[in-house]
Amino acid sequence: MRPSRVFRWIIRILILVLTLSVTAVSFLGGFSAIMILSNPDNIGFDTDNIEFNFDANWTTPIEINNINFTLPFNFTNAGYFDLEDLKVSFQIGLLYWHVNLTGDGLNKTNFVKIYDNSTSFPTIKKGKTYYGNYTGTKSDFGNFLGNFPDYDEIDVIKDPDFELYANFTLSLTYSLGLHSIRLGIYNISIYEFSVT
Amino acid sequence: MGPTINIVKGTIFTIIYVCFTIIIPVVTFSLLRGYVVEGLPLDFTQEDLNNIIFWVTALGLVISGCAFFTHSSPKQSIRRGSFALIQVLVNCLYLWSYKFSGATEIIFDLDIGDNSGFLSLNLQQMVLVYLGIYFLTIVLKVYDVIDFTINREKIRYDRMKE
Repeated sequence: MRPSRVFRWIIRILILVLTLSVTAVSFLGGFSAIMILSNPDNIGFDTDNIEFNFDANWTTPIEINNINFTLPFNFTNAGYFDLEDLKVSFQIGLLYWHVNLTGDGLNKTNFVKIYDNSTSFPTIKKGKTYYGNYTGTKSDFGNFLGNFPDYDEIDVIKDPDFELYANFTLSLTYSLGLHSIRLGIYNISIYEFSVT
Repeated sequence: MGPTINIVKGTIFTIIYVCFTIIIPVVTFSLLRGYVVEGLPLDFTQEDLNNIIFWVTALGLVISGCAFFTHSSPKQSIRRGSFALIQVLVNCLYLWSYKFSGATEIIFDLDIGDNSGFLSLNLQQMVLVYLGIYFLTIVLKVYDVIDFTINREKIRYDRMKE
């Protein structure tokens, strides 16, 4: 056999090994993703136990002294590989009954965005569960605090005056980055409160 | 090896490639169209499906055509090396077509009581890794063409001896 043929066979075997390895990793990764996502307990945002603190002077314009929240969540990596680049994006919308002072005289519900931020979390090893808290402080609310309505714009006869709804987007990479997974859940009622 | 056997060999490989590059993917994607996983419907429109099927069929036919010429050519011939190289290049385009036709991102719609959402599985990185492996194959095929050209006389002599 010519030496070039031997070289060719070596490269062919290398390519075969690479292809089989990537195929095996892809298959196991896909299977792991199914294992993680098929059990609802593996990804849990505990909205029943969210801790939301809001302290404001109900003047016109409104003065917000403090606003923060802590949302417990857990993530179980039930698959065969480490779970990397875990990032949780979180948006909160404020729903209130708006007193229309200037327009056509009709009151309406208003929905404004008050929070939009994302946080990265550490790698979760295979078979491990990560228990974490998603926290948002006043500084994280940033410019969105300006979206809070003034006191005289809120119809306080309604109870509750404010309802908070959240959108979650969770993104992660799996099986050495071969699979990217994103999970989004919209319009989750997380909290409600009144001015008085 | 006689020309008839070469043509039969080429035809067999064409049929194999038609199955693997056209029939199996088209059937899989057609079944996926109405598939529901654990009660979650796939967000997969008819337009997406038509787009994927078009590219898979178009490039699959070119691959199958190349496969006929590759496998019906004599072993270690320049013709075989050239068609094998073209076939690998078209294979890369075929793989890339999965990305640009939208087949690498599978999206499920979630509907949980009052809430809605989505679950997306992106396989784009996997396609890129496979393309990396294909790059090695391209290098090997280029090497083959050069080798078959340089050693043409020796290959012919060996073929005559057989």
